[in-house]
Amino acid sequence: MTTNMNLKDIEKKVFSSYFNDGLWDIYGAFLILGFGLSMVSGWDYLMIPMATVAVMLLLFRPRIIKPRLGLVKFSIERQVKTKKAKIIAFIILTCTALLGLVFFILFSTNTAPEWLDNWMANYFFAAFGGIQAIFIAIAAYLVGVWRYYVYAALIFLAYVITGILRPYDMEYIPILLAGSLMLIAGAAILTRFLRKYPLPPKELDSASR
Amino acid sequence: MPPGSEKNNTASLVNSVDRLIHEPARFNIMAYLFVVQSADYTYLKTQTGLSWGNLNSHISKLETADYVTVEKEFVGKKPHTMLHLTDKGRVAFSSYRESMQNALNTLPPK
Repeated sequence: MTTNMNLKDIEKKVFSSYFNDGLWDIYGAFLILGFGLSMVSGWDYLMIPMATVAVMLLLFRPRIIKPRLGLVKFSIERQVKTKKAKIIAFIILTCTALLGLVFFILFSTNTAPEWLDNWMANYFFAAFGGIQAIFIAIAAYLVGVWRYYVYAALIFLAYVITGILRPYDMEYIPILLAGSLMLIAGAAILTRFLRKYPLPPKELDSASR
Repeated sequence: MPPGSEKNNTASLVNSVDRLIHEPARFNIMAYLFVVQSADYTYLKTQTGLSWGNLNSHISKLETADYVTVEKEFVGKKPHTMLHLTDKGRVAFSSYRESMQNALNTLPPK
């Protein structure tokens, strides 16, 4: 016990612990692996079931986490911070989606300027990976889980190498590797989390106190 | 200042701290409740590492002293027992931290 304990650090640690269960890692891994597998198989629609599994995992996440970590209402400051973060994330996501839509319209109607065509041919994967890496890095900053910075770097690197390996028909390898590493890490962290935080007995109520 | 009076000063400052909060388990409970608005028993058990029995016992003492309130709230459609520090509890915890810091500050540097 020490009065030197930094209450801000405690609050940060508590907040981060609600994102350190491995499920977000597995969610990201499924999305990356879905993209990689669709590149290998040539079936673009393979992304859909992979993304569906990922989303189902996230929807099911509270049932796994809350009984083990407990329910907490964070401070007003934290709630305001989280709200601001969600707004920023929404704005970035919307801008990215709009940009994607513009690109889609330009390329599907063959109206893209030549410089853009060349740029996409050379840097598409790096740009795609860069956008994903930025999202993950922002998430890492907001939830305070340093491992997500590593994922951001890993994904960006994977996509850059994908661009380089494209002429050799091996572009899927770095993405599958990155996704697999994330999946293994996520599974290990989830296993550790389930062992560290077993399900408690029936919730204590005033009758049992 | 006469020799030895610093030690007496430190001792008297430490002796005057809130003994209810001074107990390590209760200090931890109050610290983990101080940084949030409210939380349930599972959160406190997870963060403090106390057994259910121990946790219950210490929370009862804090509740008796009106430092902690235990309330049933509805989260979605399910009732949930939530704990939070009262205003008195927050003031007491802040005062305790200040008292201990003052006591430590009276000690000479290494």
